[in-house]
Amino acid sequence: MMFPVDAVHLRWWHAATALVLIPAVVWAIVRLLRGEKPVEGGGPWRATAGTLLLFAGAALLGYSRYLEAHNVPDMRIGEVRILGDSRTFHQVAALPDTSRLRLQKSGELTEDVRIRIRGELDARQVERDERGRPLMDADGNWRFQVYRFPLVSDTITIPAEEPIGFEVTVPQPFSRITGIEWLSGPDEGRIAVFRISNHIGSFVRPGRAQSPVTVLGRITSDPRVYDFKTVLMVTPAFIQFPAGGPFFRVEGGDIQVTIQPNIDGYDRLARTEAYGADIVAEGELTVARAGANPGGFNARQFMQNYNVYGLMNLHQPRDMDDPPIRLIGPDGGSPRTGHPLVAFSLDLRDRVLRLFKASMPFPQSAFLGGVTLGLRYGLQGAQYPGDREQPEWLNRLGLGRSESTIVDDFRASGVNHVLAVSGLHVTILTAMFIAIFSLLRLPRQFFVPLVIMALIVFAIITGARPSTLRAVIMNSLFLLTWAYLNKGLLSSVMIGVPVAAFMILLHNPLVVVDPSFTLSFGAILSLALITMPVHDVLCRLRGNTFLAVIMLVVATTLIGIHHWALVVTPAFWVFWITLSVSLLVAASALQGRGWGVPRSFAFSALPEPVSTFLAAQVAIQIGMMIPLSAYYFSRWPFGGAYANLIAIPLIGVVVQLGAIAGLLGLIPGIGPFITLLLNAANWLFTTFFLWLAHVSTLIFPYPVVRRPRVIEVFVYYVLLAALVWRKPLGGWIVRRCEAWGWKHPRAPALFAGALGLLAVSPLVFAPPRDTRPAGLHATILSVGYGSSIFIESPGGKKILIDSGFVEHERGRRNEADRTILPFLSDQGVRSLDALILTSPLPERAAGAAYLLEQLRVDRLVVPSSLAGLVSTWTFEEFVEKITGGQGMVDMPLERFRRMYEECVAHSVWPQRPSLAKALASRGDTPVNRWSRWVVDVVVPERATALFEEWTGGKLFRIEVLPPGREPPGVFPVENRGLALRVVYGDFALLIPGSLQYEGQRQLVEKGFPLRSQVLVAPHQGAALPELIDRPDRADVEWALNRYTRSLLEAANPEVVVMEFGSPRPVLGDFGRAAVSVHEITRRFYAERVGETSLYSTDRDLAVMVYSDGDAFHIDTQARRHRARGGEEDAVSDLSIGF
Amino acid sequence: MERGVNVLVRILAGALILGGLVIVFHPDYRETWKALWRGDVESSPIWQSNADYYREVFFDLPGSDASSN
Repeated sequence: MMFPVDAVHLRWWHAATALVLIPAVVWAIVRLLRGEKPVEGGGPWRATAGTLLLFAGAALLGYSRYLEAHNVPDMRIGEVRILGDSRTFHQVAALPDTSRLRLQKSGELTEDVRIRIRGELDARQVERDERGRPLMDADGNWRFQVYRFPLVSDTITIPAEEPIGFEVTVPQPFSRITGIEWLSGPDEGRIAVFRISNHIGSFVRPGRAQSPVTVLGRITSDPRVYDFKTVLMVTPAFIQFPAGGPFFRVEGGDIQVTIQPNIDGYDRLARTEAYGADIVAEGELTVARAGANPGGFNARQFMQNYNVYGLMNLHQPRDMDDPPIRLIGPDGGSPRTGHPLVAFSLDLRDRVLRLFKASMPFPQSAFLGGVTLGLRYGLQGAQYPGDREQPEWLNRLGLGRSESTIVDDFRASGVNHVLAVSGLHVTILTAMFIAIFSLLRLPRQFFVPLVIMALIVFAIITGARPSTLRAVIMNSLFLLTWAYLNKGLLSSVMIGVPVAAFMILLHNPLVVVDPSFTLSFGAILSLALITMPVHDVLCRLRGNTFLAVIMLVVATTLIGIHHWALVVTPAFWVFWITLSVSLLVAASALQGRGWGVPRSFAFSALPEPVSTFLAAQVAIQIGMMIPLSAYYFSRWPFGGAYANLIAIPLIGVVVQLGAIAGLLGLIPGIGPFITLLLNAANWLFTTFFLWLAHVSTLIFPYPVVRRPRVIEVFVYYVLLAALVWRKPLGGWIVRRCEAWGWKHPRAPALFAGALGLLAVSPLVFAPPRDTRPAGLHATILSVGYGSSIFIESPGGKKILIDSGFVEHERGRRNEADRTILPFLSDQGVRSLDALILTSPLPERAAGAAYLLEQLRVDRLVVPSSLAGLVSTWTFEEFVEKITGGQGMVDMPLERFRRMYEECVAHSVWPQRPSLAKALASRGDTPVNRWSRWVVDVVVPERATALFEEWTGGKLFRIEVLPPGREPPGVFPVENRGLALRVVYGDFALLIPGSLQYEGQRQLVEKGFPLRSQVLVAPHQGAALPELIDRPDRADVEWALNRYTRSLLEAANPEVVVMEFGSPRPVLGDFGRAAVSVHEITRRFYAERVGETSLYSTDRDLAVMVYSDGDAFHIDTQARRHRARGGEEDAVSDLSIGF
Repeated sequence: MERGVNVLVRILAGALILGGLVIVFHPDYRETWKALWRGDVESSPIWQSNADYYREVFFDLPGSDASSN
């Protein structure tokens, strides 16, 4: 298996697709022929259900094609059959092109088989000019010379002891097979011969490859130009694999080529005009890294969903004359250009962008470019344009600059959808174009094709994302029927939705798993199906009842803002429901007596557009935001509904003014002046929009929520559908009861209840989220240069040891937000029995403040250096505490400052979370007690055991091993940290934390029982003997032999795990020293426990340890990726026979 | 449809007036107007604030033949 998607059941997917799609299409055709008009929002449910069936059929078709696209099967070309003296090769298919082969054991063998393959090779070599550049003919075809010669493969051995299905790659490629040369083997058996697909994914090599390849291909989208690099999307036509070998014709998959500005000819590549050009690129072909941790972002899968299977990162060393990538033109002339319509659209985009840059300051210009031109990556790193130096009262009003980026603000405030260039934008532009043409008094039959063309250009300009395509197709259908049929049949959303889904997935099935596809269709279906039912319900609210509902919504919102953790407790909901029912009953009773507000005070009294808009907002939240945001992002923007009340009308103005300003600006002479006038006004609106998102994040929480399982999402939508179609469903139930002769008055209610139980039954019968065996589970997360270990005790206790690093500058990598919280959400964990911080070092403690904002934590265990931590500590007090009075020794001032900022407070960014501030908000107050939000801070003073529990007759406990109170000598911060030993039965996991060599010595000399089967290497396996940026190898080896060896002897581990990653964000210039020390330390451990028993979180990714109290088992995230198909299947060693 | 046209016209008219006011009172916009008048947009404070934003996109006036890249 070359690809990660399981295609075993592909034929069942095809059958299911046919089963759903064929009747749905027949249904749609019949309705069309009959001229029936679908009705949205709680209309006849058969009609709507038919439409949904059509949509489901389109989605099934898309997913089947998605599976096909990801599963390019290797072609079976024959079989070697062995029976007695007869050894024959039955060839069933010829090789279509120069191909690589693999042999697969397909029958039992009693002894090893040794064979050679005979055949011919058509070795394709590209023709080059005198400067070594590949040549193309005038038609744009690459010019090759083909050398044909006979070839015999190396001897291939199929071991008898390997299971059926065992595979061996043939070292040489072939163009034709003429026979199999039998060397030795048993009297009976079968061996299948497969041709390996020439998909680009089969040529990649994981990690740092050592063998460059040459790719001939074409740039198939506009370059993404950053100030420090340019990213090109290349569709390869041929690949030379490996260097000096023949060229293979590539059969699928794209390559993302990243080029550095130091490359000769960079300027010609880093421009829109490079779209469509042919290139030759030479370099390593690697693959994106798969998710480093369970539940984490999987870059490899994400890229493959966009058909990107390979990566090339090209730069030009100073001693290299030829650039690693060059543009090639037909017949040595100018490079080709892309599709004329696309080239025109991209040129138009650049012209409008120039006008924006000239008429709106940054970052408002980037925002405008994002929402009108789809240039989202221009906003990367941009921040709200406040002024850090302004008065404090302005900062309090949310007018000050903050550390968060605009994109972060948008995401947290729930207005991120405006950057997605969705149906909202397309509808706004459609209305705008119609208005403009109507202003010119042109007939609709004349201008509708022009509007559709403009929408197509807009879709191309903005990158043709699924949400944009969906909206363009639906709006085009509406326009066509409106202009030429003069009726609204096809304009109905209910027909437009499945048609759009069908067309998009037919064109590009890979987008079916893209969140933007699901979110876009979720939004439009929510608007179409749920808005009117919600509107109907809301219209029943009048008088006192309406007032009571408003009060409840406002109160809940205020409580959510003030204390989100309270809102999600069951106790709160019992109270809230009781209060709500009481309030509504009282309101109704008072209304009956004529007290209170008049009945004319009602939702229905609102102007129609306003009431529909509000109902639509509720519908979007119920139908899309709450379930899908939780599913895809594990977070829910609490204030999204409120922010969008302003944001949606505002974005209408921003987009229309931006589009008109961009188009009018193209008029020679006066155009740029008009653009400046319009964008000067738009500057006010865009600034207000950015401020709105910024302030919204300051007011409303953005909580992490438990990621629901697919089955839970499914049940949610089943229940939602029952709510939307409650009337027709109720009628159907009554009719069924009558037809079946159930005359009891409560029969319909009982029947409805039974159906309800049936709907939720999948939740009961679905397999549990956690199917792992009972016992101790420890997950050593891959968090770069830092530490975070999640422990689940056999009795169900959940304990996190350390919280990873938070990078506020440059990469802005927050391990708590990016790794730990998604991991816990994926595991269904919302509360911790304990968070243990082994040290105040930022790579171990910086994420704690962010975790404490989101998680229930019963106990926080900290070393004595953090005892009594409060946000009023001065820097000097803090240093005194954490060093035991030794002052700033053995650590750069910057490291002390960073620790102070993470643990106590930041002077420039007062809003930045810190551990002290988080603890201050989690004190023992009545509200915190009610919401289980109180954190009990524990400082273990001497050797203690935490969480002792007996499970299955075995004791689980965590032993805290403080290294001692005496002056720790050098590295006082590290050596005063906690060391831990996690014990279950006969198994133990030793976590010495941040201990440097002196701390390791003290730990051993204290005489604690340290024997452990698994050791997590202290100090990330990069402890320095002294603070120097160029450590001497001999000094490091001396320290390792003197101190770490005694620790190893005391612990006697069978397995060592090193928590390592790029140290530069944490240590700055000392990162280089840490890398070299780590390499020496790694070899030291490998020599003692063996290379196969040494794991590292930078190579093996997350490391999972399981023990039943007797034995233990190690698994790694990298191994899991390989088991699902991945790098191991990438061809790793292919020699060429000439 | 008439309503949509009226709304668009009102938005445009309002934006032109509002934009005029911003140019009069906002020093950066005032300077940019002058720079545009001089034909030297790239010296304006607004263009300079965008120096790192799509830096490969240079300014050329519509209708001119000057290469923009």
